Amino acid sequence: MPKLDKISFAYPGIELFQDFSMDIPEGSISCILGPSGCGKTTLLHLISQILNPISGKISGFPESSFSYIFQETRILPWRTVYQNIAFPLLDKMDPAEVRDKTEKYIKLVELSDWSDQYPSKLSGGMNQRIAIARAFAFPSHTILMDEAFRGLDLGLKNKVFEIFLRSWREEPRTVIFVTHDLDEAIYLGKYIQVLSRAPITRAKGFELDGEPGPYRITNKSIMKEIRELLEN
Amino acid sequence: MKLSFSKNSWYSLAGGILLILIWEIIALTVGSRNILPGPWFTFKTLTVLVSDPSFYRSLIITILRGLIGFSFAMIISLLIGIPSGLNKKVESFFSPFLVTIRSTPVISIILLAIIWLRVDHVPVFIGFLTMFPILTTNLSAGIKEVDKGLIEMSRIYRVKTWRIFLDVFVPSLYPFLISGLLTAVGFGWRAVIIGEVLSQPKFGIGSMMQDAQSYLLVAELISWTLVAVLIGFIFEKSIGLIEKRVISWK
Amino acid sequence: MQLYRRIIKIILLFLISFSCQNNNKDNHIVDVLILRGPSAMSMLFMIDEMDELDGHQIKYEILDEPLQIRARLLREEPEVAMIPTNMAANLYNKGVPYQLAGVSVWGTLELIGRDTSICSWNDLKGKRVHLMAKGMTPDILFRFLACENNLDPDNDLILDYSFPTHSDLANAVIAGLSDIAVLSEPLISMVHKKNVEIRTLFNLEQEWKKVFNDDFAIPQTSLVVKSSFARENPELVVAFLEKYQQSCSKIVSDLSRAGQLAVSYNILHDTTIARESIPGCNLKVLPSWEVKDKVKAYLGVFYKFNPESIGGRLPDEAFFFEK
Repeated sequence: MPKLDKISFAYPGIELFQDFSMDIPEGSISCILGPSGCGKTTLLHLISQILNPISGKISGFPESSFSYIFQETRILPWRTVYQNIAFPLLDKMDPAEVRDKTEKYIKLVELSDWSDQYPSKLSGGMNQRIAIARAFAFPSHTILMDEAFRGLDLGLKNKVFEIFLRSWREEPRTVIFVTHDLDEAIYLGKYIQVLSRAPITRAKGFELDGEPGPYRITNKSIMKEIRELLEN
Repeated sequence: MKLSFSKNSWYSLAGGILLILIWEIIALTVGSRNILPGPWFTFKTLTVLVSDPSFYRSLIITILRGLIGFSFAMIISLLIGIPSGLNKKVESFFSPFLVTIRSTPVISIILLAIIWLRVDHVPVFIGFLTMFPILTTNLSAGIKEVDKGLIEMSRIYRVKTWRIFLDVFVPSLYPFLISGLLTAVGFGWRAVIIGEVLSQPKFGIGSMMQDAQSYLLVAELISWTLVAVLIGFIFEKSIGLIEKRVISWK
Repeated sequence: MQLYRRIIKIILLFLISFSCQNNNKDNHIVDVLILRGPSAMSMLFMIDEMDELDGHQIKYEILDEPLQIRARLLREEPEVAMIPTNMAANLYNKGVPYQLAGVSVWGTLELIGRDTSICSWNDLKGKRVHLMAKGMTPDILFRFLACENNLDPDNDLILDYSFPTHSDLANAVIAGLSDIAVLSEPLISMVHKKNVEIRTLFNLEQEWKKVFNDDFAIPQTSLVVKSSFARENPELVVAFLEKYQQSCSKIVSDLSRAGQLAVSYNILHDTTIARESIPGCNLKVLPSWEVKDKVKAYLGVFYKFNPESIGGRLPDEAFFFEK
């Protein structure tokens, strides 16, 4: 069971996390909510081992293999759609497997017609789909997402959410998704964690009814509670 | 390679023709072939020039000198530029050296080089010295501009370091390398020829120019100048073609 | 459209100014351009005393480089000038209308050095000889003499052109950076003064005489006159040459005054060096009709080296001013 155990972390002059503990349900999509700038990105950096906590332990993430979907797409402008998705796979599997996986996910994110194009020819939303395909094609145990859908307009967002969930259902794994947008969290998440203010010492967790998706029915009182928490 | 004649090319052609006309008018006004020969006479001189085999010998030798100087410049700039781009201390260490070379007038370097080096080596040395600071600066700037986000993404995805180097690092340097190349080749080509004019090796475009000046063969001097300009232009276009290939993704 | 008209007007005015050269010059002024060096020294007394001749005003101007004089000759500005003889032939052959009126500076070049082992041309085999610049007069004359003494200049000797100007080369010899060099007066005297180890190995004028069996051998620097001016004032040219001849012979006999004048006209900085260098300059004015053969032989050497050095061919008879 992935978990964070009494984590402390600080930047010079700023105490971010103090004795913070949190459990992450394995194999599900967990959304971490909080206002911008409160340390959500740092949390992901700590989990993915880009940063190390000052004290405490992070465990339960098998083989430390992560996929990461960033807010900026972080795809290579000088490689095609296909090559970008295949890029991290080349070290992990043999060429035949690379080809299969890449083609599968290009189809899944609906970019088959653009397979040989360069990212400059695609829109922002399409480029984010490349990042999603890359994240899922990569044989990771955990997917980390940092405000990955920010800046996409509404109509586009729904399409991208749809594609994301389709990919997730294809190969389910733990997803930790950080955002400030409640609607996103509700659409995509099974579990929601609301972080306290800095220095973050705890998170309030909620389990949502039903499965992630557009036509979700949710307990109205949970929604109200979450909203109130966020307002503080 | 397709040579397309866009509408703008016609305007360039018109501009070129106007330039030649103005040249002819000024030459007629000046009235002396020993001061300014007209374009037709110069063209005839040029034809005589290129039909002589020694023309090609001088041409090739100067081009070779430029290429050798460039190769050395490229190697040294990689050795100095890459560490400079990665480490500020290294950059500060080399900076007095680069600044001095960049600010010293080319002519001073040439006059000193004539005393220090064999006459045949002076143009190569000058070419090298002119080109490598430009290449180095562009290289280290390019390295500093490498998108750290892409490197971070590659590390999280555990991409092997040599592949990060080849697929992320190097391609992001291309625009800087190309712009450095263009500038360096322009300066370097001219510097090599000036070096030849002053050090007077046995063969070379610069030596031929100096001879022409000395013997008052003005049409030849202009012809050699035109040849030098043409070669410089060809170099630039070639780099442009490489650029198109390598930065086709933009 | 207005802007274009303006631009065209400006261009036309610019071109017209080009074509209006010195058409408004006073016909009674004779401009004489002289090179700073032995040629100027040959004219010292004249510069000092003669500013008028037969109703014509004589104006002297001393320039540093032959190329500067050449530029003025191309624009046909001076009436009289002193330039290297090979340059005179080159310009004549290129249609620049100046004739050779006389020769005043004969062989000023010497092979000098520290190497005491050199007594004959053969001793030079394998040695490094410094020359001022490739294709210039010292280079051509030295190569010719080397060949005449059975040496192949490119294979038996190492010819080094590292020091591109006379002063650079002179300083190199003084500093010991050059062991053997071809230099001209007055620098030779200057070098002797500053470094007593340097001695004369060969005097090129003497060597030339051995080859051509002639007194007053190398017609190095010539007096040229504008053809139109000579045509309209032949007696003036002859008179000028006579005065020049007289004043030049006085220089050789009155060295101390010559030395002082050299310094006051800024040709040299040291009266002693000036005095000591004059004999080595072989100054003597001979008019064109007396030196035709010598000049032709001299130009022949240049022609063999590279015809372009004198303009592609040996000049015809009209090159020489006739009285």
